[in-house]
Amino acid sequence: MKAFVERIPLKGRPVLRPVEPAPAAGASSRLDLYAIMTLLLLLVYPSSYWYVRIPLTVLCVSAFVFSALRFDPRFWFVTAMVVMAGNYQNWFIVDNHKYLLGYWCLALFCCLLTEAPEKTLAQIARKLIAFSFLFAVFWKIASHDFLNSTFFHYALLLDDRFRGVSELLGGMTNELMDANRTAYRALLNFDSKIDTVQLLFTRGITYLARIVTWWTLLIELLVAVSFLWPLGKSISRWRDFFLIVFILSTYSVAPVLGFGWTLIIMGLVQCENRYRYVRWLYMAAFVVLQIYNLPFRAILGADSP
Amino acid sequence: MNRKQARLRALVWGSPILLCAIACLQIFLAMTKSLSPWKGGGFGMFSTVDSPDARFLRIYLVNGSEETAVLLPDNLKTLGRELQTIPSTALASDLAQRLARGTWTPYRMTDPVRHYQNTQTGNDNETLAGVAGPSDTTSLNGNSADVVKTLPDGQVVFPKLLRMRERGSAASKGEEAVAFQRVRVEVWKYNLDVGASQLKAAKFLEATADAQP
Repeated sequence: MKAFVERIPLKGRPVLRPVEPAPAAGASSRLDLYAIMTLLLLLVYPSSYWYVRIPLTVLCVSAFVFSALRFDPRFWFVTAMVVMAGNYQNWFIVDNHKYLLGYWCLALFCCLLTEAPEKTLAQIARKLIAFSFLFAVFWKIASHDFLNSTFFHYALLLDDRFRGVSELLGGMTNELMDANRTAYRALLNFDSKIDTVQLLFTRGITYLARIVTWWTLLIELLVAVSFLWPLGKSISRWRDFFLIVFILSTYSVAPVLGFGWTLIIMGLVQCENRYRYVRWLYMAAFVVLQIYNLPFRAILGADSP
Repeated sequence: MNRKQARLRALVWGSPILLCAIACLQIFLAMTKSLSPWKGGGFGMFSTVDSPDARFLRIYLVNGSEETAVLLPDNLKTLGRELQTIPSTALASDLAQRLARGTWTPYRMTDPVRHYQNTQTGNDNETLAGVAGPSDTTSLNGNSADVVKTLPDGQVVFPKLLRMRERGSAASKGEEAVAFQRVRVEVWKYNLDVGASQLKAAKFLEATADAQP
């Protein structure tokens, strides 16, 4: 408490007045917050490979116990190498956000080697978000079945993560979804001889697939461009808004929470101090992501026979 | 630019450049080696139906004109996944050779209670239920009389559902190996034809390997 108050003589009587923490202390406490959020991400969404999960758990717990480790570049180098070694070993299985997590741990290592770690980390975070979205947009444009909305037709009909949306907004019934699932299994069963199965869907699915297709492309393009744009100019000022809208809209449908959390940490790191409410929006997005993960179908009884 | 600035620039750009390098490599592999856009660090997830799950394997034991479809054993699932993600004739051939080296026998399952009672009376047999059984998304074609036999000791045998035993591992009592001449591994891909409302699969590649004597 002593550090945050000072005695100011006022008409001969000393009074206590809160003072702003020194910039250096503020920066290090924010850096600590980012480090803690990253450690929690590593712990809460662990790798499925024991040779990655166990070393990371030991590293993370050590860094919680010994806070100095969180500011030690060697710690983050080892953490990044463990994540990346796991990705390298299983490169054909791991999801893209595990790659992003590896780059992020490397970013923490790099920033701690500079004189202004928080500023450096913000610069790296902006670049990582920009490039990951740029490649995501590239794939959506280069793909032969995205722009014609075939992919989202498929996802809405056969990906269980989209089932709630298909039923709520696409007009699909349980019976139609189950019939499609049965057809899918018939095609993929190990002793199947068939090469074509019929799927059933409503007109609502067609409209929904088109809307989701163009929305996804638009919001990802806006995030990529706004994060690539020079800081403080034009569309760059809207980048946090676009990223938060992307997180809230995308992960409401496809709850890849590890990816969402990584983006939230990077968004928090790079957002500018002058927009304090933006930090709260990122934190709110984090809470909303957890709410998205609630088993709504089970709660509402949609899964019961 | 002095040395300090160059160092700072390297630290700021190191991680993003690594991201771009791996993503460019992923694009190259996807364009030239059929790597699924979903995998490999190129951020192509949710951009196409062509995920590793849309590429599936059909595996047959061939004996003359007879073909028996088999499941991929658990110990080869990682190789199978790699084949689905970045299919190549070399990988398919490797998988076929490993499958051809194994001994294939019908699944046998025993009720755990019965198995316990048999161990008490010395009439022991391997319990396979829940150990290497097919997944819940797998089912057998044909009527039940063709696909299930119940033995006097309570074991249920699935003559059409084969499992691979590694070469050298001990056989269960009464277990008979299925004869075959070669193994054929097929990689299939499906696509959605929205106009026809159909999921259409086509064979992408195949490889065969002769059974080891």
